[in-house]
Amino acid sequence: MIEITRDGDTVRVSGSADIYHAARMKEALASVVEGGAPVRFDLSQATEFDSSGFQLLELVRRELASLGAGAVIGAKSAPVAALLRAYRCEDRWTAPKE
Amino acid sequence: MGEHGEATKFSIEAAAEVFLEESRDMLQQMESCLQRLEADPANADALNALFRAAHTIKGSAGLFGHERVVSFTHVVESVLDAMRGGRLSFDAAASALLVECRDHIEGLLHENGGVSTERESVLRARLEALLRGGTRAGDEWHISLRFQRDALRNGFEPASVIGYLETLGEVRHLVVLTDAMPGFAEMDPEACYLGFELRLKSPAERGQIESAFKFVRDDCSVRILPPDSRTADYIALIEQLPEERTRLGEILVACGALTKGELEAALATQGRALLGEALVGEGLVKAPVVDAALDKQTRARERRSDDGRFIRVAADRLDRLIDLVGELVIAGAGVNALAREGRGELQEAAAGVSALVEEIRNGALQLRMVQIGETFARFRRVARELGRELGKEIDLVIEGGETELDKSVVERIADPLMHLVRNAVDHGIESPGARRAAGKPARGTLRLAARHDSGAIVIEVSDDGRGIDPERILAKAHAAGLVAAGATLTEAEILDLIFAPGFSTAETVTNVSGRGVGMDAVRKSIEALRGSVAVASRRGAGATMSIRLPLTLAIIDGFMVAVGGATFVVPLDQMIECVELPPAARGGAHRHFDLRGEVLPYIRLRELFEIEGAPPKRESVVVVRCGARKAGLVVDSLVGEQQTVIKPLCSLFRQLRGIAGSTVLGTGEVALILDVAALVKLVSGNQRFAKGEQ
Repeated sequence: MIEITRDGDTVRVSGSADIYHAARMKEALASVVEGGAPVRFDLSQATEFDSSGFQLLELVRRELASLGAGAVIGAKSAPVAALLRAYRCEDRWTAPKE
Repeated sequence: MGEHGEATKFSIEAAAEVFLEESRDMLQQMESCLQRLEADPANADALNALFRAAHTIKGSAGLFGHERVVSFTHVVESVLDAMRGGRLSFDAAASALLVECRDHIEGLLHENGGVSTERESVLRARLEALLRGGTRAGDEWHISLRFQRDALRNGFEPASVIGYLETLGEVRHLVVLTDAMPGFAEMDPEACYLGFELRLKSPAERGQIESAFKFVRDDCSVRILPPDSRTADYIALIEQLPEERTRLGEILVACGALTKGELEAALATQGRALLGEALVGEGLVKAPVVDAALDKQTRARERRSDDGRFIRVAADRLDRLIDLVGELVIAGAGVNALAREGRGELQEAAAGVSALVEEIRNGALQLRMVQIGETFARFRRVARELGRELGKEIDLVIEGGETELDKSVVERIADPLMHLVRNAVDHGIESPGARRAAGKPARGTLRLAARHDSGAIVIEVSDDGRGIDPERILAKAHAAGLVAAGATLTEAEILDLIFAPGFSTAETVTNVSGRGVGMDAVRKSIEALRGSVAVASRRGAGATMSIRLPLTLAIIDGFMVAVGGATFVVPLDQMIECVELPPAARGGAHRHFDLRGEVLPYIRLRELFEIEGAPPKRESVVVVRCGARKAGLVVDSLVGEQQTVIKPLCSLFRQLRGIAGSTVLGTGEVALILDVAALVKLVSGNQRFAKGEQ
């Protein structure tokens, strides 16, 4: 199961953000990209997170950047933190100082 | 004058005060980060915050002309960056040095230059020694990984491969590459687009490291360079890497042949000019490494200039050529029809000729294809000027400018596009004040995007404005008598009303749009191109107008069907399948049947076009689609595929419903080309409320 909900600029990804749910996740993220507004991902409820989930987030970040909007990861679950650490990517997903 | 001078002086003083205040905060932050790092040297968050604090101090000091602060903090920043990149580790010695450096920066800022320059040069030398010592350790393997598209689907997880490497040693430097990933629409969520460049500090043997990849060999291309690799090996690696457009510096850094610090130092000395020479001159890279990278860039440039070699051809000559190809297609169909009745050899020869004709057709149409980017770019100016006129700030974002479509389509789409852009700027995007109040950035964004989608091109004009208010649309439509009282409409149907003739929502007619040319005119001109237009909107978040157009106006692949004595052509790319009309569905009053569990509404062409005669015992249904909607067209029989040259209908027949054009068959007979979009709309009963339209 994967569920993507949006509340203002927060996009919460809950459940399994993995290869089995990648197609569904991409579908749900289309509106985020189309919206073109800055987003903060709340990944605290992402119970699974693999490279396909990572790729989709990178895709969103790149598409939004081309629209001049930023994307950051706020809260993250352990699997998310582990993958970002393995890929040395914590930095590019961190919010600039507010 | 005097007063003015006072004011300026005052504001500079005030700003300088703010700067000092801010730098005090930053210094404090540096201190607490250093403390956190001492407790936990692997704390990446603290290291990042430390780097940002130093970076902020450097940036603001530059604004206030504190050259010494800038230059000293720059070296500190380089050391911190090397630590972030894993090229340097945060140990007790480094920690002590950084604490001293922090104190020195504080002295520079608050003691107004009264700090010792001697102490500064000692600190500087220690920092530089640290940087030099941290570069390219002798026992680091360089590993380049590029995963194949099917890797994830085959059950491989790149992160586990990295994880395994970490059991062999220390992954000191890792860059994830996502360059291979296409745009959002094309990206396949289950495909793998990842690549890695990493440095592994490990005492392991080559065989051990290679064994990490034993099981992913088919799903990943692996290149391993041992610690004592020669320059030539790095050159070969640069040559093999697929990332072509990566800048020279990035290639070198990504390959680990250079560190970022070295690259930046070289850039600073040579002011970006002649980067390659600068790198060699500084002794930072061996010449052959740079040559290979430069060579790669030159070749990329040459390819680009090849693209630039054009021949100018008068448009009317091309048009004439395409007309002739059209005639050739028709004549070829005639030959084919005869050949089918003749000898085997003749059939074979005719088949060869038709294959060539098809290629010539595609080639000829290709000649007339132009990129839509130029048309899009014109709107930059339009958006800027309109924005100024209306007091709105607008950024225009263009996507898919390289998408090609027939020149004749491009020319005729410019006007409807202009209308949509004006509408978006005028009615869609709010004033900066209203936007801020709604919690959005003051600058509005207008997006023009184009992409190919199954034999058609989709152009989108979207804005991040207030969106379209369905209630207001409905109220207007009621007032204008466009909707029958008591009719219940879906939101999509309501939004679609903006295209109805005689509809205009602007409460005040402005100079920009709303000059009496409504959206119905836009829809008409797009439909005249055999296209369709749809609207989507999210209240408060903006609206998107999607235009769907055929790639070309001239020739299509058609599917012929027969009703009575007449022949019709269905554009093949809008067809899904053919089925037999279920006997149960034939007699009933319901105009729909069950197609594998889906309700498919249908229409009889015999009734629609009032063709005389009784239908045959068995009727066929051609299932067509337009966007997401499907419909069935009931015909007497199916004839087959044929390339079809579209001839426009003369004005007398233009009012015909469901007919897009005509074509001449190989036999010389005329067949009518069906307008699938109009038929689908008619069948799904979408027109029951739009009174104005025929």
